[in-house]
Amino acid sequence: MNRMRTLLLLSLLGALTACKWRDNPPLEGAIYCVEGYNQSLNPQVSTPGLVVSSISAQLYNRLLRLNPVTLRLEGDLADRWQVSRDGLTYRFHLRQNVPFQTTPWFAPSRMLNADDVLFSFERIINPKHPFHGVSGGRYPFFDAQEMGKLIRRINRLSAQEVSFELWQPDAGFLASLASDYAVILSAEYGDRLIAQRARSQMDTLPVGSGPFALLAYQPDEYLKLVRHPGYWEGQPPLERVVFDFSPSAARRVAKLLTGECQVAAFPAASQIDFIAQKTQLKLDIQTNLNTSFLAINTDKAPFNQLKVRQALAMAINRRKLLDAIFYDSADEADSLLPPSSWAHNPNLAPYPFDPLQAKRLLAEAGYPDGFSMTLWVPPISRAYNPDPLKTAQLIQSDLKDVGIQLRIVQLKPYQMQQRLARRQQDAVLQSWVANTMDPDNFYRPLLSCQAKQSNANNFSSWCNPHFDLLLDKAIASNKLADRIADYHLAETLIKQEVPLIPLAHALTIHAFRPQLRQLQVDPMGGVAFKQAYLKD
Amino acid sequence: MLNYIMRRLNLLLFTLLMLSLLAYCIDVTLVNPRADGLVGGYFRFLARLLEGDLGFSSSSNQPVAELIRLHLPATVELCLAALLLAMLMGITLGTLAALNQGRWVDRIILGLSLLGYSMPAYWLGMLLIMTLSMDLGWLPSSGQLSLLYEVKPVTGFTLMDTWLSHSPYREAAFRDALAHLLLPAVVLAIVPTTEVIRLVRGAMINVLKQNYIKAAFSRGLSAPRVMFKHGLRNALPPIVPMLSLQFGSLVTAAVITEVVFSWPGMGRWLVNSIQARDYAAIEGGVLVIACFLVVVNLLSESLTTLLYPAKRKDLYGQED
Repeated sequence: MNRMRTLLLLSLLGALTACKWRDNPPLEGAIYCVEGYNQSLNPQVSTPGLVVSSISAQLYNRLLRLNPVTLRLEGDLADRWQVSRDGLTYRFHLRQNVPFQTTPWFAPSRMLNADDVLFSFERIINPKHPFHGVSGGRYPFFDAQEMGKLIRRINRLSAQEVSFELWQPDAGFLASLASDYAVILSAEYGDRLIAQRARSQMDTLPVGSGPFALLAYQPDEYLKLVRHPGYWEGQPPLERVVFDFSPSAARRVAKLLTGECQVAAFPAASQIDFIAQKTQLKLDIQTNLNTSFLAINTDKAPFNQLKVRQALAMAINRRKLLDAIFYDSADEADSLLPPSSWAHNPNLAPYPFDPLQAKRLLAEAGYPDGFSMTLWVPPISRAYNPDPLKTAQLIQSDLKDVGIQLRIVQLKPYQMQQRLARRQQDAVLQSWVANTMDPDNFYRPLLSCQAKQSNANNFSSWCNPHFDLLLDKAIASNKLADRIADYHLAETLIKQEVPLIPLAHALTIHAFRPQLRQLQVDPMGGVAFKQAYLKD
Repeated sequence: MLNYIMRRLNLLLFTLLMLSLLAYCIDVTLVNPRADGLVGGYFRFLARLLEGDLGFSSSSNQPVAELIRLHLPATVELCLAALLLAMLMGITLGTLAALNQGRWVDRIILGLSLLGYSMPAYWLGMLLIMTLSMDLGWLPSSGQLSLLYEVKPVTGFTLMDTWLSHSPYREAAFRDALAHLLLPAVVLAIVPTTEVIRLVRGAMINVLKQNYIKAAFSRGLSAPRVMFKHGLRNALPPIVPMLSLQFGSLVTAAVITEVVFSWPGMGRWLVNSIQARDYAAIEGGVLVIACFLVVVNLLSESLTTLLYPAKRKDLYGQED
């Protein structure tokens, strides 16, 4: 009797739970496995990178954006714009009825208007702006572009119209506005935070106008986003999008296989063949504006001698690097500017791999027996250099053949920035990813005299007035043919002077489950989920 | 009775003092090197600890106490689940082995438990991830809950929180949490299971020789009834305190298991902190884990003393 009763109860319980568990439709969402990230959620103040691009594409809108197919600029929040004849005034007309996200920490009472645009850019360029100093007062993308020295004034013409006045013409200005860092924040939210004396909340609990709003953020763990139902381009099909920060490429692929994520960024180069064989996974491979290179410290002897630098360029076997490090997931770099840029010069031949000639050059420079040098290696493997240490070891063996003893110095993450700023290295392995489509974004931050002075990204400590002149001339012109000619000259100068040795242009690779449709990979490497949906 | 509890608390106090001294050593050498007096510094350190202030983590800039509050429940949940599994499997298999002493069932169980005991947890974990989750896709390979679900922490234990939440996806989230728990709990349970099998088998063999078991059989009671009513009831009590000793090694093994399965608990957090040289986090984490173990031990010992008459002589401080 007793046993019968328990059996009956158990089966009843089982039946109850069984039908209850079938009722609800599953939560429609996608998980994006990507490298580690622990910076701010406001792209304005974050160090540029591919994760920031993806965050920007979900949370925010910009005035302009790049069409992912044609790579041309198109309106995002601005529905039309005009440039004055002298190239000094840019007028933008804003889209009507664009709502900001409603979140537990802020409910907007009005639609997006000119005040928000003013607020967002004044914050960056005006040191007296109440939000300028929040989050440290540094705006890495805009500082590198010297935006503060470029914009003279921003005017509010009407509720839906703004104009930017520049000090000098800048052909890259629109591209900068379309970059993932030029996001539009809510001025109303800013006023609210000033009243609540909680200004730092602007960058930790963000409010944007993008397709997804913040739900929860745990640095280096996850970022959870929830659908913004009133999004101006239409409600996104997915209810949730989650960024799963997994630093290990192997783990990202493992999670993709088990279905714990639907998209994985940058699988390890060695796993790409394996993924291509799996029927339940798909690959998205794109060229992207990035270059990994060896920057030579041109301030230090013997690297201040041109012949030594040329010898280094001829001693390194780049083909071998591609085979061993990238497994053909990269193109050999002939120039600093990647081939996908419109200003790339296809006719510029790189230095050939020629150890004998390299030895001869070294002898001419006064080093017939070679010398010893250090090569600094960044700690983290990035998609654009999957294995910096192995790269360094291969270069080490190449240089040994011409008599140069290379000592590899592995940097720790926490000492990287400050030690590089002191420029004590002989050479360093670096890579650069463009943040805008404009070629200026490659040359100016890496090799201009200004970048050397500000101790930022000019790892070569190189300063050539003629090179700077070419850059300035190119950016001031709005004739594409003239600009291309100037950039070709600049690239030739780099080849002649060898402040750095371009090594490879990595491909941007995303692996994803085919159930996820309409995922959009931006030209800058970020991923947009606004149209993505799941299909069984 | 009161006397016994006082003695226990006294011991606890001294253990905690020693622990705080150890933590202070880490603190002085690595976290906040002080110029002022060591002794005065220690008392200030103690005062800070008593206020629950464990300093700030250097890698995330959050208070260490807050981070521990976030990570500890996950570890406790994993350990409890593993302990439960170990008890269930261990007692069943141990009893089976004892009943078939010397026969092939016994030998297989003993052989398996030896195998389980010698298998490294991280290796078994990876093997299970490779087969069950990556090849077959049955179970998730990492984490505590699919990141799609956002569950408000009520108790801090994800399994309970998913059950208590009011979201429309409550059941799905609960099932998901259960699926995430299964693999790490099994891996973590292997070693304690073998221990339970060994203890239960020994105790049962002992009990089965007793006259009251023969008496029960001769009264015509069925075998299961004899086992449950008379066998296990007498075999288990002496084992319970030995099991609580397992908790220490369980927490140690949990560190490795958490790393293998990316379980967001204390172990993985500590390993990450060590890699990031976040000394404040290491100090706080070690202190809290140690205190936790001391308290668990104290509780289980006191409970067995109170519940099982055979252990009562501890109350009077007598030797066997």
